[in-house]
Amino acid sequence: MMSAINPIGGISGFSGISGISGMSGLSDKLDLDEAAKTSSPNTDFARMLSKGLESVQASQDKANDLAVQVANGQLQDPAQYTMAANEASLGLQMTLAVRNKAVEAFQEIMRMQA
Amino acid sequence: MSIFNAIGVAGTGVTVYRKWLDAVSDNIANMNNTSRTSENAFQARYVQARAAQDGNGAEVAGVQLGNAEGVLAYEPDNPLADAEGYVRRPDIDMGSQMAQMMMAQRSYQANLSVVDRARDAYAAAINLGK
Repeated sequence: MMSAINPIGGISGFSGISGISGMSGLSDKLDLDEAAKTSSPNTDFARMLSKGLESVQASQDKANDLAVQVANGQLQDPAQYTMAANEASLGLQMTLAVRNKAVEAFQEIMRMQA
Repeated sequence: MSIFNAIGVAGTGVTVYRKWLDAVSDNIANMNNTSRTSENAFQARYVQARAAQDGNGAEVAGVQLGNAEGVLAYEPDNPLADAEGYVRRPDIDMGSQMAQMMMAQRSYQANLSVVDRARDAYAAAINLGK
């Protein structure tokens, strides 16, 4: 009688974690071999930074999607959201660290006496 | 392998153990079901975990079902009882389910601890030299 019910039928279909690796882009951009192939160091850094920003944006979007799912009551596991939010926050901190170092270097050069 | 990979890998473990907890809670919830002897008993669910195919973490390969025959119980008062007074009950051992629940819960927490430590480690690396 009760055996016809399958309350966890959807259990094997869930693979919420797959999107969490949205940061994969960032490691490609920081790859030094690829960076060495480009001609100008300026465009190289700009390209790396913009692509890094894109992947940070992707992880932020992922965290946002999960936050919406929390609000809708669709999220099966709250840890999925907190992990995605953590990863997005780490990505942003990483971007800021890189940006701050670059600005620091620029200002150091600008302070040089002729 | 991507940046902050440890968080994603531990996240796959969290997902596996959440599914295991779901399966155990389902088994315990249905532990006292009765069914007619002409029908199948409730079948316990057993989560089958394996290493993820992409090499990052773990995943659930599928859910195996327990014994459909269950155990026959003599309950002549039960409206579902057959002519001889028997009903079918699921073949689920509560002790085993509780032990599985503890393993799943502790492993879930262990994976979340890994996420926590990894987050702290990455944050320390980012803050290096500030």
